[in-house]
Amino acid sequence: MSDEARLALAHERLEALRRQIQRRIVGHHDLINGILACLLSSGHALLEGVPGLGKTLLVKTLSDALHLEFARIQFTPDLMPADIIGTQVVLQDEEGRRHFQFQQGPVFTQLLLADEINRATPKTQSALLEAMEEKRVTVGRTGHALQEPFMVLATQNPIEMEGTYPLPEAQLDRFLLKLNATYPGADELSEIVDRTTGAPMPSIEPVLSAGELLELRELVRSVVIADHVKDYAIRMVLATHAANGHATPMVRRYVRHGASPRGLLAIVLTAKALALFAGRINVSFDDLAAAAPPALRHRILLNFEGEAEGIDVENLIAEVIRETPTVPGETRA
Amino acid sequence: MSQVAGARSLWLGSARPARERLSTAMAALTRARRVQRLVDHGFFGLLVGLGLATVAVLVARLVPLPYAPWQLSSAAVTIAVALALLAGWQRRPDSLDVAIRADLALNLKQRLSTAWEIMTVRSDPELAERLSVQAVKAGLPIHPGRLFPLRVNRWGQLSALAAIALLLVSVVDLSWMQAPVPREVDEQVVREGQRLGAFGRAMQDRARREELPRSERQAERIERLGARMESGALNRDEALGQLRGMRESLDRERMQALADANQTDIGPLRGESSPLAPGSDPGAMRGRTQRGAPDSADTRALAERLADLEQSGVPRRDLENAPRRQMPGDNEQLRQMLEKLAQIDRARREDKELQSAREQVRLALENLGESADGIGDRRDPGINLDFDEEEDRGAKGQADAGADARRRSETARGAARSGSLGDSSVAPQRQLAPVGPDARDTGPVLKPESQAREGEVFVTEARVPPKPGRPSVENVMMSSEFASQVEEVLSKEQYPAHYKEFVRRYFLNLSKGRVPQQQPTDNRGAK
Repeated sequence: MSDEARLALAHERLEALRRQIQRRIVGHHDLINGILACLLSSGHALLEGVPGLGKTLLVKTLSDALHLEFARIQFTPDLMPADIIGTQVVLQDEEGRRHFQFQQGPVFTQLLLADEINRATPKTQSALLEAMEEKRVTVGRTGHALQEPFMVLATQNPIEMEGTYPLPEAQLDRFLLKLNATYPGADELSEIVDRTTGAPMPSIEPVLSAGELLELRELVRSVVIADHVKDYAIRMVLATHAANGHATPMVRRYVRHGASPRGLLAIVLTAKALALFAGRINVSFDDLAAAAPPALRHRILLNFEGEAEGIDVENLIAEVIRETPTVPGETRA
Repeated sequence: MSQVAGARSLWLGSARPARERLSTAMAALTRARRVQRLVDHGFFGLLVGLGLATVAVLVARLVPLPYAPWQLSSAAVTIAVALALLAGWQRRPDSLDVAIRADLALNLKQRLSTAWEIMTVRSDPELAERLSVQAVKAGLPIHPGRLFPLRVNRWGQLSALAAIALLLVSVVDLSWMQAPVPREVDEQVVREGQRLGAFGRAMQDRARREELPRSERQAERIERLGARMESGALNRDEALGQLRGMRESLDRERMQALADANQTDIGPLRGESSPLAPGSDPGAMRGRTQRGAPDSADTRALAERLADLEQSGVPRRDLENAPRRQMPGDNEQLRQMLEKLAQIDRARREDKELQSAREQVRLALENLGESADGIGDRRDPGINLDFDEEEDRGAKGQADAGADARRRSETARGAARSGSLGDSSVAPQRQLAPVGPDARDTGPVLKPESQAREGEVFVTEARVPPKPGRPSVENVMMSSEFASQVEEVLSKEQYPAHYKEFVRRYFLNLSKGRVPQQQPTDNRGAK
């Protein structure tokens, strides 16, 4: 199949998926784009927003639109790792002999919604580390592989800090993107009212199977990134490190830790997905610039001065994108 | 449908593959970018050149330079632009950089640069073809001239400002920057300058007419010095210094002129020139001798010059035999004698002109108040001046005279090196030397040491009575109204307290035209 044909097919499938999601979800275009980019990049997404913005609904809608197994875990303070991963239970057979058998937890699914993930203790949160990174779960001495595709979509509330446990940096780093759910505009609110207070919610038809999703993931990875474009992404990531020569003034002053190499991978993978959305087989500078905020915002750790002055990481990333030249020696237009 | 076929449909009928089309487009873009950079470099060179030209013109207008401002400015601009163009031509643009710029300019989303990089760097033909198809589809072909137009960049814009600066520097009056130093024009120096200038011009005319190169050069120098003095550029001290230098130069030239004649072994020369008899011109005589035998007039004329030739070392027997040879063109000995005579005559004429010039310089020195040095004028370096001693020892023999001449010449040179003739060791002898008003026009005795040999020695005395320096500064009317300033002086200056009344009376008496002779006794000593 030619590139054009493959691109056309991918574009058609993605548009179908997007249409299904938008039957229930009003607005949130960036959020939907980010989730789809995560889905195609084999990553996990952390959705952050105040309650009532439709984060959970969005994930459930996505699960309905995909031929994937879906599971939801409501994270609470008393949630235990075994509640996520599963546990060994004692079973008695017909002959009366008892033996241990592993009972799979909700993590053994393809699309996992970790709702309000910051309400669980770090111990429980850490139960997802292996699953998210290695797509497998180890119980005792036995490892259990998760089925592909596997994706975690976690939500968290940024304003209710009481009784919550901020995600450790290691956990945060495993999310490919951190997506912010923004408040809808007036037109979108009107549309939401119309859709939810009138007729029943429209049903969603699954339009993308697991196999088709894996094909799309393969196509995303075949998107070409030129050396000079990759160099731009590298310079952007290095610019988030205060000690690096590419660092911007704000970074030098307010940042304690910059983005990890996973941040660079996240930018490039997301940019590839965005290039595919645009019908290109090459990554552009704009793709990288668009991918940088969701890929870096949870990977930059402010120092005490930055925290004390209430520095917004979004502004800091915007400065990094603005100050990093696409061609060395020239300012980005 | 294959990728290549699909791409062809986008090429407006072109049948070439996408990669070839991409290569062609990139070559055109690279050429356009190179020309654009060449122009950019040219503007940079123009800016630098105009800046340098501005500085050069400024310097040329403030400081006298051997080049005209327009020459400096045009040279600076030309060289800077040429170097910048050369550098721009040698710095070929990177094709990948051109592709990146084209992508950014045309918003091709890095399709072009990615395709070009894959094609040129990674050498993946299949991927390069796919990307080339995409690039061609996105925007190729493109017009290179529109993408990299010939523009007036910021260097060019700044060049306009630099050109304005250059224009201003060229036309604006910069006299305020030259810190003019007010000079007091010395009328006496100006008058002497006028006189020397006129003399120099007349001497130049004579020297040119009589083909005397040494005299002509010195006449030019005298004229220039006169012009400088006349313009007021020299104060009295400077004029005196220049005149002294001129005087020494004239002496050296005289010595050299006589020495040149002496190179042909003419023997010691007399300081004064003897008049030549009519028809005794050596050139005419030589011509007649070559055409045939010398006639009786030539023989007589040659006989009159026998003394000169004998002094120049020609044996008397040769002198007597030479005119007797009758074969035309055969008398080589006679021809050589006549050539020597011609050289002697030229040296005498040079000597006469230079001596005259020296007298004018000496007169100018005197008029400018060099009374003390005027005596030393006769003891110039390189010239035997001490004629008293020479006369005293005249009977002691020629050998001693030669040795003394060398010794005195060295002594005189040492005096010259000391910078002032008055400081030399012979100064006391000058005061003892007889001074006669008639001797002042004769000039110094000239006797080059190389001519000190057996034979008659002619010495001529020149003595100039010292004149007191005549003040040439005009009397200035000064205000005698000291009364208003007395108290100010008394309040500012430091002096013993008991002098206060004396100082006050002194100034007040000055106002009345008399100076008090009375002075308070000061046992403690005034400060």
